[in-house]
Amino acid sequence: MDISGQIVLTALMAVFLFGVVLFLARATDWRTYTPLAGAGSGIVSREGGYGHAEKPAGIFRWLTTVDHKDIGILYGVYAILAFAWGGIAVIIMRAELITPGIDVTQALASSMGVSNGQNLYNGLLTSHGITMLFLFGTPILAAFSNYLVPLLIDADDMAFPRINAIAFWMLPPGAVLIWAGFFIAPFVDSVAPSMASWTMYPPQSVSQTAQGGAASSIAQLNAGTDLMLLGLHLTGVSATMGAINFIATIFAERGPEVGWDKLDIFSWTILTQSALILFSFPLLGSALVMLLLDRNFATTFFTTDGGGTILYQHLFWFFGHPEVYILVLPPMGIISYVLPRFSGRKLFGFKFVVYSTLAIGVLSFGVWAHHMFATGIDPRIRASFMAVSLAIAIPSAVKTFNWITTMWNGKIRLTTPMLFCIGFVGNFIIGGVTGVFLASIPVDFLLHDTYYVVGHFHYVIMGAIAFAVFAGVYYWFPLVTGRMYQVTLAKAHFWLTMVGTNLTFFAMILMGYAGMPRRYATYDLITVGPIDLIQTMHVLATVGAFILLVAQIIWLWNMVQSYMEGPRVGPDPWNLEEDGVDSREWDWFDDRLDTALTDGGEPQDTEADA
Amino acid sequence: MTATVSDRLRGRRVVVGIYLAVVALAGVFGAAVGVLLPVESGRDIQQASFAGIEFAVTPLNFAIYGIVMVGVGLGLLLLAVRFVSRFDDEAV
Ligand code: HEM
Ligand SMILES: [Cu+2]
Repeated sequence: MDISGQIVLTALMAVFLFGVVLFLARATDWRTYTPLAGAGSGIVSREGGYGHAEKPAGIFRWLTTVDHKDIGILYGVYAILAFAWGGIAVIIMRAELITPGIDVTQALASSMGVSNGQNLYNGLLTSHGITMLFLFGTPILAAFSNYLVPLLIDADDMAFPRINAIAFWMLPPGAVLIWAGFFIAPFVDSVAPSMASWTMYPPQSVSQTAQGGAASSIAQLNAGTDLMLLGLHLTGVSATMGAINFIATIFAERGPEVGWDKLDIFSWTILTQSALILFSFPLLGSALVMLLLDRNFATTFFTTDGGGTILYQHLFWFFGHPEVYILVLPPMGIISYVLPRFSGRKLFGFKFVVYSTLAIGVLSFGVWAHHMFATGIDPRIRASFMAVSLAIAIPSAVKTFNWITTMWNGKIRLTTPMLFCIGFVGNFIIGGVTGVFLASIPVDFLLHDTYYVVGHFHYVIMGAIAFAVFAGVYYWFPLVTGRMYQVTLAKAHFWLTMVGTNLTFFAMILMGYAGMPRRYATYDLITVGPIDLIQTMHVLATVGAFILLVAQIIWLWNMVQSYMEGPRVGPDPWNLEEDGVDSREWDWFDDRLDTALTDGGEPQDTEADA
Repeated sequence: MTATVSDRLRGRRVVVGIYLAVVALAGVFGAAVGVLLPVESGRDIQQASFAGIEFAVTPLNFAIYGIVMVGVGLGLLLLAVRFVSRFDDEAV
């Protein structure tokens, strides 16, 4: 297309976008979110607190809000969009792996502006990993903590509501930058989605071209990687700002009745998580800036004549391992919070659960080199990291023990959130035990960079973290929407997710035993196990992935449909009072409901999930 | 508001039920590993031994191995849970 054609197109696009903005601005009846029946403009403030009066209507309300509950919902919606992106990426990858050769990605590559199937696969792999960890994992937890922590600790809002909003609004541009390679690739030959993988190891991440090889000059580098690094940096800054806000909020904004001894388990895990973020994300930020300098300004931090590639790995994993606990601690908090409610009792050994949270927080900074056993670092250093890595399993085991004992002496109601809690415990045991094996140096030599590792961390990330997220979503769905979800769909979602997770990731563990290396688009040239056996396992993993896809579609449908038309709930939708396990956020809900009732809303009876 | 006390299950029944399901699953997984190890090229593993006992790598043997290992491992954990739960003041 010639230049003037492009200008015309750009102008038309601008006019169109302007029209969209105008339309959105005028759509004042944009489904104004009010958690409860007919609360009108929805200003209800608890005694003493300041309400968020005079929220503008329509889309501007969401663009300008500083209310922690609204920001929590924004985080949630954002994270679910990212979950969809990462999910679609992995579905394409799993489709590719049904056969040993290259086919699906090869067919898609040219239409997506990528030079070949392998490069597209690597781009999807990179995008999947980074998206799930930084754009889905961290934000979905922020959704829970933003909405709930101020309610649980009886604060009026976060300590710094505006910083809270800024932290969120850094994320959408972050995502656009991280995904930018995909958007630009169809139009510009020298740009492709970054293929650096989520660990971004140099020398590759410093020198890769859009065609996959090593660049001979800076001018040939794939700008997709630069954009991704900048986007990641933005999300790191966002997470750090959020963490500082939570620390300040939990320290300074607790209500008069919430002493340290009364702090709930979820807020404890958020406090610990925030401390981990505060100490580890700056490392990621520094490493990213050094990478950018190496790529664009010919510095040599991570070239062999500079600090070397091992320096990068140390910096990255000093962030990277705490990051996995940043992702797992709040889900553990959700489980510790929800599981006892449906066991009809208090959490067994509350204090020890808090101590083990703190212990994990501290120890998680002492294990990073277990990701580097195979790099040839000093064996004495290796051994000490092995010892700490084994030790960190102890506090995790303490928690598991407490959850099981809580159930043992409880009366259990198998509601959907409870099913997800039980699923969490089971999958977490498998994920943790496979991790302990990896922490043993000789075993790691055998399994490093095979699918076993992929199986290990997905048992934790999908099998445990995502399960806890679902437990939380179902448990607090009535709190946020004032409505109940559809129980049958929810149970179908649970069972499909449970079966899909175990099918996919157990097949991966077996493939790891057979020696299948990770991060390959094809396996027709490998020399490990017999190819038809490997293929059978890949097919099983792909079937599991498609089961997971179907399950998540059911979930999304259930959430949207129930939010619009689900039956309204009463003040105690889970009958917690009957067991004496009611808690502050539901008292708050009750208050709001009362206010709404005097306003003329009428709640109907609901079917509880039992 | 239908969840009444009658819908509730004794916690220990649930826990033991999950235990049995997990042990059975360990048998299936063990069998899968038993299929896999002997055919893996380059390693050719036919014999395994544990605590001095030698056995051939077959799906059945590995299924038994999985059931015994997981059964004993988690079983000990459950015994510990049972013991500790006596000191649980908040039992219902
Ligand atoms: C329970 C104790 C755990 C231990 C002892 C452990 C141990 C390990 C080890 C040694 C590796 C390196 C394997 C290799 O590359 O060869 C590893 C990888 C990994 N683990 Fe864990 N892990 C544990 C829990 C977790 C948890 C809770 C998560 C996630 C929240 C997690 C996420 C990961 C990830 C993402 C990797 C892959 C890193 C890579 O890209 O190579 N692990 N784990
Ligand atoms: Cu680690």
